[in-house]
Amino acid sequence: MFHYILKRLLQSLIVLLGVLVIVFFTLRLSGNPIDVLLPPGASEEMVEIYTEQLGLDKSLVAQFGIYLKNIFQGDFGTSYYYKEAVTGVIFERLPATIQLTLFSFLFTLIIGIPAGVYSALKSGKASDYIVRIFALIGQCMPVFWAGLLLIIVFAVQLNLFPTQGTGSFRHLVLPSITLGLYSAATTVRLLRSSMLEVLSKDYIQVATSKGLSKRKIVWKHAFKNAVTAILTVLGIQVAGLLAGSMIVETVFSWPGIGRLVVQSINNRDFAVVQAVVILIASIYVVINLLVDILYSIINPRVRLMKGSSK
Amino acid sequence: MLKKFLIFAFVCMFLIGCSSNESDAEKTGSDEIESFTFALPIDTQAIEPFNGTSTTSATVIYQMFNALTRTSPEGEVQGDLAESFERIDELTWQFKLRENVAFHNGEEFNAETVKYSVERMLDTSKQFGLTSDYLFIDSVEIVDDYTVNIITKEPNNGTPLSLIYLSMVPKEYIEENGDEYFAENPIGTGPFKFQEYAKDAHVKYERYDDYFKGKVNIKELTFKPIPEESSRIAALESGEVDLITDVSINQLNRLEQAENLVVESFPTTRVSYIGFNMRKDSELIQNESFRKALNYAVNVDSIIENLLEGNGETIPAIFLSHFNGYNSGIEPYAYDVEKAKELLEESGYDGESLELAIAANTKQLPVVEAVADMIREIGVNVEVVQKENVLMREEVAAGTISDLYFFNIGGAYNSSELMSRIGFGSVQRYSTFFNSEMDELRVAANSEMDEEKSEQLWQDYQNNIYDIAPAIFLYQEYASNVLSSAYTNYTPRGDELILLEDIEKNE
Repeated sequence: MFHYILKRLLQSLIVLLGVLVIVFFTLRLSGNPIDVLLPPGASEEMVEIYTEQLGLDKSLVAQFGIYLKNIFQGDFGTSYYYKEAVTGVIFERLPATIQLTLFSFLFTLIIGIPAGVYSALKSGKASDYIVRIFALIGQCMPVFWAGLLLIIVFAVQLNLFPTQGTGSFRHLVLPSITLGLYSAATTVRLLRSSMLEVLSKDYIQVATSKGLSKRKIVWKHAFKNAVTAILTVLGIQVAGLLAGSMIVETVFSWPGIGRLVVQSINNRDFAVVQAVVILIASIYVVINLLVDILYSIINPRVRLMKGSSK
Repeated sequence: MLKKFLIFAFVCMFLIGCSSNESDAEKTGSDEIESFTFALPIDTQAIEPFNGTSTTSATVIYQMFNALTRTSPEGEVQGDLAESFERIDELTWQFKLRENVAFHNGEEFNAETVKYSVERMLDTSKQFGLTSDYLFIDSVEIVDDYTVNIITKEPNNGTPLSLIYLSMVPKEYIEENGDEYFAENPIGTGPFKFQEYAKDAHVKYERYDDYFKGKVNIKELTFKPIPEESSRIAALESGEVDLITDVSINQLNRLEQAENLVVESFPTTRVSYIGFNMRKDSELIQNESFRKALNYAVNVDSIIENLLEGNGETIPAIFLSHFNGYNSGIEPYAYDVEKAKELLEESGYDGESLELAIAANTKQLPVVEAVADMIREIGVNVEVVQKENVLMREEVAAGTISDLYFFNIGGAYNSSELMSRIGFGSVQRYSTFFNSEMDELRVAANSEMDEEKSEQLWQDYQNNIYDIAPAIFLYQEYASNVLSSAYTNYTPRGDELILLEDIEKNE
């Protein structure tokens, strides 16, 4: 197990380095931050001063070398736009995004799991079709549109929730639902098919013939096995929610890193974009690793298989 | 089990929904407005007054700070912390300062403050965003406690206008606490005191009761950045915010119908045009007849009436009616297809294919598409291309942009000198019109001490730029503010700053 984790960690470092190279060089192909930083009337002299101060006069490779060296010293650079350390800029916004992600994931679980199980148990009946239609709508509806629809109905018309901003639990409801809608719908559909597969297995028939209660069969025997299959997907969904909050944060004026990265791309704030991309890549890597470990705990056969294949 | 859960979830949602709506602004008391919230599309870059280069940043900063001068909503330069100002020799502008003005912490405003503020701005090592706009200043001399001379490197009639964004900052407070502390805890002389800044979420202010122009009505002011237009409108309609900007034309008609909202459409200082890339080695673009042909081919009136629903105004070239040397005698290029075709033939156009660039996701794309269609009508092959905003600016700066490109200049760039230099001056980053004679004329007009002579030189400049036609001249843009009808006496400004000093409750 320890060797496995170590190997995965080393692989992760290579992935992160690859991400860093790609994001560093593509960003620099996309335009000069000086054009955003300085007012239109700025003189050539000022452009030169800024270019030198920001280190943009050095060759790309030299800039990358300096950046890499600084990263290993824990320095992710200074934001051109906000004129402060990137880590500060990001950590100020990260709690808002984590909060939104957690609540969206909670929404995913609260809606996705009961609805998925229910749909599987009622397979072929009208209620199954209704759940599946809702799941399909949830998957097809563009996040942007869903968000605006929720704002118009629940905030403007019914005045139940605020239209935007942060500050209270009520502010969290609409953005969490909007962000969680797609992953909830995905969970419903995956869990339904996974449950159907498990429910047709022999051991379920045995349990039924032994006269176990339906609740015990569904939740202890069927659900536990069905959920293993969708665990990876759920894990990636958390990372996806975290990274995919850009649109939701924009629609709901949520002050998180999704909105920060959109603004920073527009402003060519290289250091911020690089750091956010690395952060998101790291989150994906870590969550994947955690899912794999969790997977082997829930389903020891996976670990055994990996062990035997060595 | 599921049924129970669903009922529980529904009850929870209902209870949450029924709790009090605490974000509704309360407006109680006689003339006082307890709280007021305004929303703009982007956040401020900073609350350090020297770092905000955007109009939004300037709006956020103007609530807390004053400069020596300020423009009226119509664009006229007036004294603000300066009682009066005059040019006393070619290079020197003298400012008489207001007395009995105090910063929010009680520190006195005087000539020392001005000297400190200007020198702080000019310190390039501090990397302030606005510094490059002030490098025309050479030095500041204190004449007495309430008189200062600002000496420029070159003669510059535009000095008082340029100073509107040079906020006066408290010398002792900054020296004591340092620049970094000040950048997070700003203190000014303005109508509101800083309370809190949460990035991308809000800036909160409270009223400064000793404001030198008199206490304002709003007790607590909040600025919120709401990037998405539909969300901004929803926040206004639900009463969470009281004033919004940047509302597109197709939404205005609907909002005008709402009883509790007031829509204000007003002319801005923003001038739109389609520049010819005259840095390109193209005989066709260098040909004056060709450039004029395209000006005659475009029906600007129709664009304003049909695409902009009246939200725009034709201008003869690039000068607005309140600029120095605006010549009301010049008529904008008329829409005359026959003349356009004649001039096109004169130019020897042989079917060459041209590119017309516009920054991606710009609201003026339909205008540019319409212009391209009109140009095609006279037989010119032109294709519209969208370019990423920053790349487009980089290409304009490098002179490698397409043959034609849509551009607009405005906001604080609100004078003949700024408009002509930034858009059409040699070696300017956003200009592709390099013409030394026109540069000399511009410099002469901006240096001339005699007002009448200066005015005449600006008129000459305007006549010449109209004749040379380095652009297809389009229109002066309009903007819209939508305000809750609970308030009155709010005046939108041409430079699109939001100032709320005079706002009152609507009885």
